[in-house]
Amino acid sequence: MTKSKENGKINFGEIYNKFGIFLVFLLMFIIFSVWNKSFLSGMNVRNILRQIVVITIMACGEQLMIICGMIDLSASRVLACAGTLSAYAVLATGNLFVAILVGLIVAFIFGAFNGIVIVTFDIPPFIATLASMMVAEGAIMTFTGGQNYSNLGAAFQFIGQGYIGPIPFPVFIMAFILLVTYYILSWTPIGRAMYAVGGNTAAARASGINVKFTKFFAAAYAGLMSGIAGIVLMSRMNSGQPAAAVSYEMDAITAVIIGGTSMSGGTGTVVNTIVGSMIIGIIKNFMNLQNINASMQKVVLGLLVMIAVILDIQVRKSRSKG
Amino acid sequence: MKRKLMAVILAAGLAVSMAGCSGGAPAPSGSSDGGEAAENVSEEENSGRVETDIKVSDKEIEAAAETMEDWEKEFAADYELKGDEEFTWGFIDMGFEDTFSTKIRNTFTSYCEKYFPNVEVLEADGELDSNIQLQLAENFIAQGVDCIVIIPQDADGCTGIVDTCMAEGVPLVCLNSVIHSEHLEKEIGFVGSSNYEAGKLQAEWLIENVDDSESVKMCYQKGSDGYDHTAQRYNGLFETLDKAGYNYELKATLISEYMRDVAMTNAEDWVTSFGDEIQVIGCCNDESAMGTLQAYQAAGLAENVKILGIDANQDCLKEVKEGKISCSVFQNAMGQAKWGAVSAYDACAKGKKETASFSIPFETVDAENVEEYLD
Repeated sequence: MTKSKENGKINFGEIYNKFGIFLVFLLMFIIFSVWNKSFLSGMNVRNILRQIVVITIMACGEQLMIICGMIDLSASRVLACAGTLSAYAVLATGNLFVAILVGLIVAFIFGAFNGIVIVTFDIPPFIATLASMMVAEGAIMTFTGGQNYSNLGAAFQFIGQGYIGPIPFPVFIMAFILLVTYYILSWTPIGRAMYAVGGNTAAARASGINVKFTKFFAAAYAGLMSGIAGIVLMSRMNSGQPAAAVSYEMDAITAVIIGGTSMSGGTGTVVNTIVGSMIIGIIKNFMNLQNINASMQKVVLGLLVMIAVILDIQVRKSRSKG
Repeated sequence: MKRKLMAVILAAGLAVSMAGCSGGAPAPSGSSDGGEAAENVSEEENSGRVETDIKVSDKEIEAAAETMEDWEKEFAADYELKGDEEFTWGFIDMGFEDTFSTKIRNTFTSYCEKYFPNVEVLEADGELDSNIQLQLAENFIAQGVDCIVIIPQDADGCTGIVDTCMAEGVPLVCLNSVIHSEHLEKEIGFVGSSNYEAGKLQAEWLIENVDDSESVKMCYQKGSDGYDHTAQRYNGLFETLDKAGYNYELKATLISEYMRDVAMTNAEDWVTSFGDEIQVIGCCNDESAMGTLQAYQAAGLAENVKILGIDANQDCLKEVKEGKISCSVFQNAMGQAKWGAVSAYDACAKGKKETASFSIPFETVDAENVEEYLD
């Protein structure tokens, strides 16, 4: 901090750019560990991991959307719709495979629908996903009449509550999703196309990239991620809850922003997003351990987003000056 | 041409997805309890379970106007429980996503279908927003309904609805939760149970069943901040404990927002903070109690903690029966819906602008009497 003061604002931006949010995460982790002796216990670390799974999976979807210069506001309602239908399916058929398939298909339909609307009619993603958010919410409420479906069976419960060794099973799902997302973004043509589309759509189009398909892919992938997150959440609660996960997409978007992905598109990595998600996770967990109420937690997270965006702007300024 | 084709595909896709997501609320054809395979449970049992979670049983509706609880008998002497005059009522729900208010709404409409067959009930979703409820009330008034029945989202936020209805001369019945208005229980009928009473009953169960010779370590899952019912339930519990001189220490209070997922996260963090130190967790509702139970079960500490719920939802009552949740407080949805309908009908039939108030008592449910409440 002193060093940055001596060297001025721009240097602080460069330090942040270089060491990124890893430094912030590490700093918070150390402070929280010293402050509260329970924080670093094995059980609490497992709790934090379990608690960030849903948001992180959603954040992977949001990240692809944001890299392409889009946003998905429908994520939490698609999550609730797909997750609840999955819970319903497991009760109706007793078949885990069918239940998962139902959740994934429903979520994929919503994601694909978002993508088709956005690329075909040139509707801003903000509006298109706002509309599908309402459709998803209304559809699941119509289907369930506000009813929860509980006691989903041991097999389904394992998805969100099970353990392999000392590690919660959903953490493996999250790790798998992170790897897939990382692979798509870093190693596939469609991943590179997303950065190009988000960075400069006209240039991407001129260089022969199929912009429409790229955007469609991102939206469909985001839908699918909401579905997976929904199945994990409903399993964790052992209950299909159509009203659950209210405004989780905001936490997912927050994770992406704190991870340094620019809202204007074209930048961002999955590794940073998982750190962003972990920062939110440890802050919420720490505040719960300190018995700080939910309203105050929102104030803190809001300020954090503001700081992350200010830093992002500073970094870009320093780059353009450099 | 290509655009038209896309539009057709889109519309078809939407229709298919909507068809997949609609068609009422069919009962799941299987339910697996305690990890057993879903198909082991019979069709009959399942349809019963799902029906009763958001609606009281048909049998209860059929018996509603014929059999009386003790507390109902004095009301029944002065009011008609059936009638065949034609009226139109607007029913403003707190929010269709809220399980308990949905249960009251469904019960209300079922009761009206059976005993006030010529009353048309128009149902509207308040979307957990007082302002939307006000707009719905204005719309109903413009439609010319004969009476408005509301489950208010917030005691203060909904006072405008009282003023609007009184100004327009439309009878209003306030169901389940109060509205802070000088007219309540005077011109505006209140049919419901005091949320303070629910907290008080939790406290009384605790005083009776948990020894306080050593300080009892407690946590509390509080409902969403800023709402009257949240404060009332909280105050009812802790003021009663304080008045009785109960020896307890409140180690932590976190907001569960009445939601299972949030309550579960809170409880997981308490397990980290306090381990097996906590003996009692008071919860603002059954969903929070269920989330708490799941977190403590996952940590293998469910045996150590007594969890107190409110609402007596069926899945929570199953846990009460198994001794995993200590008690819940039964909110009588049937009583609220039935006497709400009677209050509205009475005002309409007699051409009054004022509606009658009925106090519906809460009842404590624990292992001893849970069978009476399980369907």
